[in-house]
Amino acid sequence: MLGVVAVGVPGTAGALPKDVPVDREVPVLGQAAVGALGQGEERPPTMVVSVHGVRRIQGATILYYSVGFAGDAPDPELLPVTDYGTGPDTYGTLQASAGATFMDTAAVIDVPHRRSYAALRTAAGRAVAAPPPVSEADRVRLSDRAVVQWVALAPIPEKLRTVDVLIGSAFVTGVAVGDGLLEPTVDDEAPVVGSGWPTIDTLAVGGARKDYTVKKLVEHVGKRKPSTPAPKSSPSASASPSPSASPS
Amino acid sequence: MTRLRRRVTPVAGLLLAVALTGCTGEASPPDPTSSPSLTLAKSPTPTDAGPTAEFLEVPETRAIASTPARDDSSYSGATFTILKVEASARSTLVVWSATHPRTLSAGSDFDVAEWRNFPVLGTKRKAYSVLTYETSTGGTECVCVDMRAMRAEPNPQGALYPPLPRDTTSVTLTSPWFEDVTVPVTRG
Repeated sequence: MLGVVAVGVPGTAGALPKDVPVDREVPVLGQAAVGALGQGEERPPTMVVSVHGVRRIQGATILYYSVGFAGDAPDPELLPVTDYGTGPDTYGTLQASAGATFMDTAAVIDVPHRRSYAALRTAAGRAVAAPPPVSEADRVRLSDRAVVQWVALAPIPEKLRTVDVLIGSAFVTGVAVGDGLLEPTVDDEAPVVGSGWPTIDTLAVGGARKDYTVKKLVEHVGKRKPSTPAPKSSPSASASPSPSASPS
Repeated sequence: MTRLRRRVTPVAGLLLAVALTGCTGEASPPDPTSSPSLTLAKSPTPTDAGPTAEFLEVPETRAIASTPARDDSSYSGATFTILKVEASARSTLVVWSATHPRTLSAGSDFDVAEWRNFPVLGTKRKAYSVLTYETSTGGTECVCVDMRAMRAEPNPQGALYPPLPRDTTSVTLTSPWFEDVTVPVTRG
């Protein structure tokens, strides 16, 4: 089974596609520790997000990532991977849904060309992504291990070779872009890292909505102004302060 | 830029291989009625075949500076810890954490639409604000990580900025949230 080969069983490496980690190595293009956004009493454990690939395919960009929990994974209702790429009601946003436990968006960001590429959508408005692991069995699956997930983002330009990634409340910068899907694939929607790659639903990708998924970014660079000393106290602690620090 | 190839430990890999191949240790066609990883997931001792700790834990990011929240902001009482100002030829990533002895909502000063409140990176001559984008409803929001609450435990937040000049070694962060603080810039 290719998934076995992916973690380095000797003697079969010759038959592997070029992306297979034949030397017991798994590509990691960046990692981040991600905490919870919420204000609830029970704070979900911090998870580790690893970016394994940003791959250009026909009509989409596939972001492969893994989420790992040291110890018990949180309650399925709190799992951070349930809504990745969904964001708020407005398509293509870079922000989290109201009430989200973790930031639930995903995007590729190209600052030099001032564009971001968010998740493609189904007709129902859901992100085209790996089916979220939310059952009780999945809680076991996610405990003390990292599993690979994917989300389909808007297609990026042909010449773009390095991007920044926003995933799960964290930025991972300087991620190299590759071409084609990662192989070998396994018949598992959330394979353990190193056992192979999840199969991408190319049918869903092909039929996805792309409206509002590409955003134009705006830079604000101005002359530096001398900073103003802070007022010593204010009777209205919740008042919005002056935005005078902005250079724009 | 971080580019790594993480090695699955031989022991973990071997255990995984054995688990996936029915103890033969050789590659063989999968049983179409079962998912290899699902078998692992149902194991009563999942750590036996799990990935290495490199995918479960990452080194804690060390603080490069800290500064108190301004008394007139809704962050009052919090401490801002600056964790990273990493510049590359493409962009600049700033990561910070606001901690507070009590768990509180982020308050009125934190609003992704109020991008002018976000830290401004000051060099000798210029000031760089967080990148923004126009939402589908015509609003403007920052390219930044959302925030809902402050706690005693750090919860890193990031925001993306334009690239800084290559010779920039430090910047002064200015925000209505906290007292000005000067921090070193690393190159990614």
